[in-house]
Amino acid sequence: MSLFIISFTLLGLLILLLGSSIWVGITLFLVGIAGFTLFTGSPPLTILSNILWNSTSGSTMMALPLFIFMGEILFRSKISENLFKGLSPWVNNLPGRLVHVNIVASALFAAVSGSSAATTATVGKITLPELLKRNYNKSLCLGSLAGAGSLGFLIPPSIVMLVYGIMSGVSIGKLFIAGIVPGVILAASFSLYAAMRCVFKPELAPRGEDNYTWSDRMKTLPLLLPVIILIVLVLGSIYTGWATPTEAAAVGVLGALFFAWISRSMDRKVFWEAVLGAIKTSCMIMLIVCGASFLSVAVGYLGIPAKLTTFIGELGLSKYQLIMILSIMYIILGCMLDGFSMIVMSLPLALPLITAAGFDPLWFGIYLVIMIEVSQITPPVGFNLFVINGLVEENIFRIARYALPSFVIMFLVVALITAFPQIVLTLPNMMIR
Amino acid sequence: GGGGAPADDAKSAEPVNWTANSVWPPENHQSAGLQEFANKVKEATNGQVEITVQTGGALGFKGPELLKVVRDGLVPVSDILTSGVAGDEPVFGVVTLPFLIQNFEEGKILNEIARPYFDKVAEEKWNQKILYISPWPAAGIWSKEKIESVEDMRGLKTRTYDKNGALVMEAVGGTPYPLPFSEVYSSLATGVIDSVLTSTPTAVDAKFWEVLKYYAPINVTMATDLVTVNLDEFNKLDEETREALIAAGKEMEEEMWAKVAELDKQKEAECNENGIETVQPSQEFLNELSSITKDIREEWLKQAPPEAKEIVSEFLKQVGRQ
Amino acid sequence: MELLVRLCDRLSHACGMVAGLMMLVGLALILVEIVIRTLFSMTLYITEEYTGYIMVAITFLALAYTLKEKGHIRMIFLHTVLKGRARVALDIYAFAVGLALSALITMTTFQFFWDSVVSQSRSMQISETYLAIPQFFMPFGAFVLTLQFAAELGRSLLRLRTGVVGEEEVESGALGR
Ligand code: NA
Ligand code: NA
Repeated sequence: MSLFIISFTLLGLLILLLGSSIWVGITLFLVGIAGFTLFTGSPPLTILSNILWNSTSGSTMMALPLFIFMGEILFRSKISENLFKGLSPWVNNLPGRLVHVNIVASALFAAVSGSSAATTATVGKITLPELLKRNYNKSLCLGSLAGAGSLGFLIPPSIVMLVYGIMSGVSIGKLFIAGIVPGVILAASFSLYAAMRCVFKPELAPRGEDNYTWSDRMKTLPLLLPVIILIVLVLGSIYTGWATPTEAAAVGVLGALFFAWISRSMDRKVFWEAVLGAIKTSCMIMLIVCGASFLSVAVGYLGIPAKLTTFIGELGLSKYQLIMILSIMYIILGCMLDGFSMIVMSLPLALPLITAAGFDPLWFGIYLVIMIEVSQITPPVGFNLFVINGLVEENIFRIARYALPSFVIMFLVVALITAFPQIVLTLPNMMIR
Repeated sequence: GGGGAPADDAKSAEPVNWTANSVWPPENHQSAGLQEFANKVKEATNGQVEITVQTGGALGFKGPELLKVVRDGLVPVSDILTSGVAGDEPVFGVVTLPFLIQNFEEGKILNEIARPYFDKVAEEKWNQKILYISPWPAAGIWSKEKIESVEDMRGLKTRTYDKNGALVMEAVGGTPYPLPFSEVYSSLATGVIDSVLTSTPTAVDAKFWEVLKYYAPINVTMATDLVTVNLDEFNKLDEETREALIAAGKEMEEEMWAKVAELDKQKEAECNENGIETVQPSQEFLNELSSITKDIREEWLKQAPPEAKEIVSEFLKQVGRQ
Repeated sequence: MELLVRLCDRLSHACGMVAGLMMLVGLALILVEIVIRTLFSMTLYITEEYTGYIMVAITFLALAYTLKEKGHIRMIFLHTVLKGRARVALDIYAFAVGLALSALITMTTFQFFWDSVVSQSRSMQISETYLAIPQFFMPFGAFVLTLQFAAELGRSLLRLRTGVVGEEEVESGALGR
């Protein structure tokens, strides 16, 4: 059976099931089962139960519900409200105003959490209700969050960098450091874009009633303190060696509970609402994670990524043509697969190709992480889209359209680091021999 | 087995395409070995049996379930970390016994004694045939501070990967942390832990030189990997092909054992070049480690299956320690 | 039938609460581990391992609750286009597909769990936990999800039969609005 037929059968089935109102997680399972049943001799159900166990039973997964729980607590307490009161006077005069909170907060949380889903969920839970309440343009808010939330992978610590490092033999420390500059550039570009859009159309980010003086700004500074302390606490617990990045999520929850308690915004009812809210969102994400890993394994059994990379290898392309083609391939794969699977399944073949073409594997790691960030916002399978959908009940294809500018910005940054690889390579090579 | 010649001909007419699973990275020696085995098999069977190797856990399996995975034919061939499946089949736990072996030669002896027991249990209980067993270099301790005595190990925060490793760290007065491998590097960098029990290939895979300074090759355990094939799949082959597979396995096993000492040296040298200092343990240190962990081995043997006891007592007899 | 449907809702809610408790236990476990490791260089030995098991419990116990609360996401584009009986029919189709898959998952995870019971599989960590114990959450959670799907299906069938197919609330958390 040809690669072409298999791929399009599965893709068609995916669209058919999603389109007929079947839940995303369940669709992924069904397409995976179909892939196994139609095209391989392997028994899908036994593999399914193994994958269910393996994708849920890891301790590192625990960071997901805990970070979401932290977001729920912040959301239900005065802290998130105060974050806005505190930041308003500072960014109120910039074009784009509070949309920048979306981006800055994502970059800050990215430095705390290893995954995009947790970053997007935590930040979105706080910012989106506030922004939409202030009548900010939906496409601006959701689009910037979808893009900025994916920084969770590029700004260290990062789960996907660990996987890439282990598989490629590239230093994980160097990868972490190499992610910082492109991460900051990406965040700045998101901000710049939001500002530009609002210069031409100020009504996208409506001005509030009030004007702020410098003394107002200083007075609201203490309102920001809880969030700053929280970030320092979480980051501090990691960098002082008290906690692993997973465990730091628990520190974050404890801190959030403390601030919620002293601001008297937490009682038993609110606490349980936060718990059940976190449970609900985590379970929704976990069902999709399980479905996505199962589908990825099915696609791997069918040899689709391997055949695709081999096919590209046989084309005999120049350095920049190769990166172009690989980017297109990763966009296509990224529509259907999760980031981890994209690395694991394509790397054994992609890495020799790109090293032969003269790219530094360290550089390629950062490139790949950005491609994985892209896959977070491309439908039908894009985790940031799912997370945002869970927050604001908006069609994922529409969210994807809102995120299109972020998608373009990511590609401009990819083009930038391809033309000037030293953006990626200088800092890590300076800091580690 | 066997069957009539015509039936065999009919069987061999159909070329076989197998997937082989390895959870290790593609460059790791076990993955590379599996690929080499696949090449050998293809050549020996004139392309009759083609094995596609999937590395890095791409098939979604992690390790402890692999005995069942091959038994059920979810993948026909897999590399299995022997100690990793001891939770399913206790006799495989014999390779996790700390400081049972003192050097590479003894590791080989232990494996030779254990092999018939392993073969039997794999075939009779787990519906799979062991094609070859391939070693890892023995595990030592990698640390930020120099370790030359049991005293130096007191207070260490060490990443361990199984019960017996944890018990060893307990016994020397350290604290074991069973972190997932993906968190080891950052935990070392930030100081959650300050040392790791593992072997040289893993140290190279994780680039320990960026976060650690010393390596003491104290031979805690010597891990092995089983490469097994589902028995039903295996029996579907004709006699000649089966024998070719067994021969290829045998060849591979010899190669892997012959190479491992050199591999260990080479990986250690790579660590040294990058700045990790090897601190050779004194005989006194090793003796002390062995005696301090004696209870762990005895405790394990008490609850071990009779086969494991036979293996250990035969081993101790052969190396002249009772 | 309505009584049964309500019983399923109750059960799902209870499982959701237990999942919440599990998360709090995991939280406590991690915090205690951090404190005793940082201050006393000690360990609980089981934190890493058990938080993994807790994650299994959270995921599977919450499946049905999340379905009941309409937390699992899907595209309801068709849903918004269709009206009346056609919309209920679409619901019936979706719930039936969900029911079939969750029944399959219940079956296969039960076999997975039972395999661990029979072979007495244990963890390789110091606790040597029987894996069947944490693995039991899988078939159990999937079974409750199956019941919840059946309940939702029952609700839709009732709606179709009684003819009350009017303007029910559009599901929150769903895709496609
Ligand atoms: Na991050
Ligand atoms: Na995608």
